[in-house]
Amino acid sequence: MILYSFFAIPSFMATAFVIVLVSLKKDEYVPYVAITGAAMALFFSLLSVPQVLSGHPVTMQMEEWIAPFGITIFGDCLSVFLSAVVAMIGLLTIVFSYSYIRERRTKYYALLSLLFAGLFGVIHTGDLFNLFVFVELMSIASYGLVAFNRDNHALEASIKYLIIGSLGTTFFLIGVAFIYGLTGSLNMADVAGRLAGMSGPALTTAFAFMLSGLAIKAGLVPFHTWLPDAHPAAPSPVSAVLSGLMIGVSVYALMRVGYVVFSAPALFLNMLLVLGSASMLVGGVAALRQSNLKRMLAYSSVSQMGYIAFALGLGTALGVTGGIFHLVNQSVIKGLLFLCSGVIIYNAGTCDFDRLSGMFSSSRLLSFSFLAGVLALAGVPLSSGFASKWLIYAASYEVNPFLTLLAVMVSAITLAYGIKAYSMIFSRSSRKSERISFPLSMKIPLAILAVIILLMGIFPWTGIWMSELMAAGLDSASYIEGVPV
Amino acid sequence: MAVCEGREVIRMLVYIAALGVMMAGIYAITMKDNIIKKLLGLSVMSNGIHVFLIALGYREGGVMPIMQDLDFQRFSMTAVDPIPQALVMTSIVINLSVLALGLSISIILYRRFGTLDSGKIRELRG
Repeated sequence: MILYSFFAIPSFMATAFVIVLVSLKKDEYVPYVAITGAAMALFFSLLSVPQVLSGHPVTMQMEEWIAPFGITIFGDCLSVFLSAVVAMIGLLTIVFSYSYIRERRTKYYALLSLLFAGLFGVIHTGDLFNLFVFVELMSIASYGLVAFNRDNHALEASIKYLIIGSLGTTFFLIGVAFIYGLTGSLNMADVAGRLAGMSGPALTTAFAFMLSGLAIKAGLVPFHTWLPDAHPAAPSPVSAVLSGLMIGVSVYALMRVGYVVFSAPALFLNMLLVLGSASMLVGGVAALRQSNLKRMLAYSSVSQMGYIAFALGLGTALGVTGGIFHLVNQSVIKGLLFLCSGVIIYNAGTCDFDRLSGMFSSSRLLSFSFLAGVLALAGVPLSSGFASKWLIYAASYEVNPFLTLLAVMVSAITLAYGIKAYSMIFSRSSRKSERISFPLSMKIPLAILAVIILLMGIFPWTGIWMSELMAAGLDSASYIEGVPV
Repeated sequence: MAVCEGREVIRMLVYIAALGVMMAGIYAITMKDNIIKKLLGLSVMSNGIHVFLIALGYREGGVMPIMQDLDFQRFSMTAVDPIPQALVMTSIVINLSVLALGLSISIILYRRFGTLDSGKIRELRG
């Protein structure tokens, strides 16, 4: 059977190639090619939603090599829904970039397309080494995109990100090498089957290397030091992709490896719980102290990744559902907020709170969507974040009420820095607001993302139902069964 | 028997050497201030993993994993494991591109700041 959403990978790879070809002829067509590629990816992703709704995973083998020898492409609700979310936010950020990126468009769109090819690859692959290759693909593209502005901050952030990020992927490769030495296989389902009932120092070493490598990519404390530099230094639509999608997809890889391949040992759950709690708290407190909007949002991403890791570390069905729901929510919210920061930079040229005070109070759409994003981030009722955070609170209460207290406290901190940012940028009291305008290609993505947040807030049941279907993808036994060996 | 044990020791030595190379790389990445040295450390560290992977696929008296006639029986009996070699090839290419990107960013950094010391660049970037 053919898994349609797989074709998102080649469509983005082809887009990157065609962009470079088209730019040789006429530079102006480049954004249209990128938009077409993204629309195709969204189309393929949506096309395969009905394929997996029944709960049976769909798998494909590359080049007719049977599993476990060939590379398996695995599609269940988790990967297909996530690829639809990635494709949707990807399309919106590429549309947003149309008027935001004015120069060196070829490099920008080609790198962004490769980044998306990597993201879809990580989501779909069922092979450990292939996972490494796609993680590297998305990482290399993002190192280039972080340096895209070529100012001092961007260059320094990019080299730092490159060194720490490569260290992370190299750690992951060490883990893969150990797994290959232990099991003689790289197919995730096959490895999961062979690792069941195995134990020993070699397995623990492999596990530790793989998970710390992916934790670096996901920006969990104490592996987060590159993130608050790299995410704000990139152009705003890229920040939206990095903060909204890339670290989210890294957490997805983390849970696939931890839950499916290693079948969630207690060490994994406890490690996620500790890293998640630390990230939540450190990210939240650090975000409160920032004087730059994008830097604040980057620290907030660390904090939200902490929530997701924390929920997954609880290990209960409710916690996993809440974590996955929050993963989807935070992608939409962070996408929206970073695009808002893009509009602010487009008009004011800066993101420092001191120089922005009250400048944007006249723009209704911007202030409305920013407020929606901020409230959803804090988990205020009638916004999308409420349901997912509520699930996380409920799940943590079953495990330990002190954990719930921590989670609620960090939500209060989130609300505090969100409202602080909102009032600094949009309050009417201070200076006279200027007439600001931004093109339609920026308005549409903001409006769509804000409406999604509100709809998810008013009808949380759809989201919960979706996340329950997605959470079923973390069951190791059904994953092994899903791949015909 | 004694010969066999000797070979096991050699095999172990290869693993230890690979570990040593990896550690040298990690040392350079974490302890050195110069960005070029850090990038070289990354390269050295991945080469350590490559040695480790190749050693995993080693077989006593094995031949190149190239199948000339479709004789699967003989191939599986004599050839060394081809998968680690394929992995290493892929990984080398990936490392090359990371290194190239890192070095080209370093060139711009040096032109901009006049130094490659990561601490000084951090102070100078403003």
